Amino acid sequence: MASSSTNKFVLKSNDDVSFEVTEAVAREFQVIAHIIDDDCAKKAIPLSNVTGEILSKMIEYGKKHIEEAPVDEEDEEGKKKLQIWDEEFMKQFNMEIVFQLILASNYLNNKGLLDLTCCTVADHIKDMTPDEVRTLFNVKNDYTTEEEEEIRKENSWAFE
Amino acid sequence: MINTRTGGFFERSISFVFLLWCFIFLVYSKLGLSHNSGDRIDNYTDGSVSKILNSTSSRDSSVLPQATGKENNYCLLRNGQLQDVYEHVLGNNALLICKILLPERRISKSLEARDPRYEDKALKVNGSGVPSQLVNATHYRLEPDGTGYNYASAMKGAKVVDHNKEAKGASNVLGKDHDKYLRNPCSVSNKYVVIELAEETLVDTVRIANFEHYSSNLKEFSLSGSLSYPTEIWTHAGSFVAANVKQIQTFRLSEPKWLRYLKLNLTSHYGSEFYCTLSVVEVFGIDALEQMLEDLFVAPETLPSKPAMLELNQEVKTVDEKQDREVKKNGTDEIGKESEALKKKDDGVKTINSIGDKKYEVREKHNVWKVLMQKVKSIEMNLSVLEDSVKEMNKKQPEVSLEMNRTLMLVEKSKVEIREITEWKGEMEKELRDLELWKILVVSRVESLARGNNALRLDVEKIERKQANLESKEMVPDIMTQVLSLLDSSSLCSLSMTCPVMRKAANDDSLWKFLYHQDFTELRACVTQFNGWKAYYAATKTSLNVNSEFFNIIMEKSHRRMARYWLKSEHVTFHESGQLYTGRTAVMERLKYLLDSEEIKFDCDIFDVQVRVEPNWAWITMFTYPWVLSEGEGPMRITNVFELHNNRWFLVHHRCWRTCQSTGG
Repeated sequence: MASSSTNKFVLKSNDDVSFEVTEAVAREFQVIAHIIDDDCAKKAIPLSNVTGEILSKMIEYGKKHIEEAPVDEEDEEGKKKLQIWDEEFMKQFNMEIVFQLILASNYLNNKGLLDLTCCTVADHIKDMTPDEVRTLFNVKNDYTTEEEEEIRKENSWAFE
Repeated sequence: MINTRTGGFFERSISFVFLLWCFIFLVYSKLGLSHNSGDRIDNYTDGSVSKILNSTSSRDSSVLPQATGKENNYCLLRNGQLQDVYEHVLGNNALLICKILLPERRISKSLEARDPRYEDKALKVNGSGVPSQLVNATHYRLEPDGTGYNYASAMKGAKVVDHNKEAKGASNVLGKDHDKYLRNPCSVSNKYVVIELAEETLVDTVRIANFEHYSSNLKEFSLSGSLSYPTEIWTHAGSFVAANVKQIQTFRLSEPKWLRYLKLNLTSHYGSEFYCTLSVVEVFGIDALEQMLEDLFVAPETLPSKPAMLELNQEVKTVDEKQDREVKKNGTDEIGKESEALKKKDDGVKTINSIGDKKYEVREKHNVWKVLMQKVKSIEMNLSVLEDSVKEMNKKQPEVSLEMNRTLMLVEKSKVEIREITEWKGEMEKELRDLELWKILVVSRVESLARGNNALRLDVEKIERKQANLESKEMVPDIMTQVLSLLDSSSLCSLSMTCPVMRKAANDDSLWKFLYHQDFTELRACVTQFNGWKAYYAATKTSLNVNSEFFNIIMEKSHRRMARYWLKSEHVTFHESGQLYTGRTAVMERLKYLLDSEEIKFDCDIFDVQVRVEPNWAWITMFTYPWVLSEGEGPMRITNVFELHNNRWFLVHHRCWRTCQSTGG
């Protein structure tokens, strides 16, 4: 992998911030890998759904996962190390950035990051009361009282 | 000096008049027009006599008024001659007809003229009988009716070109209406009027009048003139004092002057009225054309004489003393008898005159003759040419009239065309107006369309944005599902309680199926009787929970809880190691005994749990190990059957028995 990373590609965010990355890092993102394979990456690759800030984090993640990639499936220590790094990596973001990272990783089709971010979100909302969830997602409780009663009955088993 | 010179001039002119007479006579006789000549001759001779008288008397310088009178007569006579010649030679009715005066009248005039008082009076008194006044003028152009030709009349083309700024109605002095007038406040110091005469005029007489009552009459005034205007130099023509009367007053210039522009300075006034007015200003004299006509016929008389003037004088002085004396003698005699015997002396004078002439003008005669003949010839030629041209003109007239008619028709045609064009123009204008209206309409419509178009574009953009949002949101459910799949059932239930959208996502069937298989890996699912995986999951979960509660009650040895755990019904059964208890009372008694005796022989760690859940009941089988394992015995097999009543599970059947070793595993 590292040997083939001599080629450089330029990724351009939707707010005109350009990042020069090695081919290996670029290939971390499935979509860009396809573009490279289709030989359409001569110029800067415009990524219209990603801001420079998010893209820089994603490249950081990609670089880390290239550099610290486990040697093989048996390298439990390497996996563990990377997992810890991931956790630390995700801790620096608030939920807003996490959501943007989810969207961006979904768009660029990076499974690892998508799983990581989804997990972060899931962990975050786990055991949250409905009110807390509402605050997080900035949604309104627009149930009628009848509906609320129905919902409560429907889900009462979960809280016994 | 002047008088003597004029006298000499007259003397000399006598001969020319005679010559002229001779020539005319000849011409008349030649042309056969002499039927009237007799009378004329009388007149002419009469004129000649008076001229002789003039010449003689004028030598006497003391009789000035007389001389002027004679001079006047002479002039008029000459005019009469001219008129006749003009009439007969050219054969037309000249517009400018000089009046022939009757001899009697002339005599009376000369008498009047002799009286200086009369003359003075004539100047001052208003002369309503114009001709009688005008006789005094040297050169007068007269109207056909005999009145003076007024060069300062507005009808002749005269106009007022300047006046002092206080003057009102200055042009009224030139008009015929005597009720209109020039008005000045008397207090104004410099009152003047500048009149442009009809033509360049040798001004002889000026007449002024003021008919207005309650206004001050003009007293002193001065005349000055110029041939050009505007000018700085005004030639003084005379100063006069008018009488304080409301009548026309006549003033003769001491010396006739050529003028085109006449400036009338009103110096002073009579009385003390506020306004000074002036009703009439008239100017009499002779214009250049008239003068020229005169010259044309006077010239033949004077021209030859001029070179011969000295000679003539000499002749008069030296050679012809005899005749001269005779003439003088006759003349003096005649002066004495002048008033009574003018007619009688005519013949005598004529003969004397003719004899005198013959003597010193024989040499000249031929020349004069030649000149005159040449003139006559040229006149005849001119006449014939004129006649020819008139004939030609007459011939051309029908052609011209035809041409005129054609032109008129053309003009009519063009008129019609112009009218058509005008109508067409009107129509076009109307159409243009319509077009403009239409244009405005169209423009407004186009504008509204453009506005609509813009609005539409905005809408489309909005929709596109919305669609993009939707697309980005569509991404969310996938990720959402992924996120939710990482959550447990209680978290999902919490989420489903937040909002309808979240409820839909959290109640996703596949999600719960996934969760079911994740949580109850060992169960065989049978979801058919349930409304989706969530309900199935919930039923399974609750039934399992209720089942585990059974073991808790046994551990607690709580009779009360056990009693509540069982359904209060008679169809409950308790099957224990081959012994069957049916009915609630029997079951409760047995259970009480068992709980109290501590004969429960199995562990509470259950395994290999199988659940068969239906909406109203649940069948749960499980294994557990007994307290004391006997030889050849396997784990305990337990079956609990629950029924759902009022949304609560109740135990209705319990069975436990020992399995063989082989089956226990």
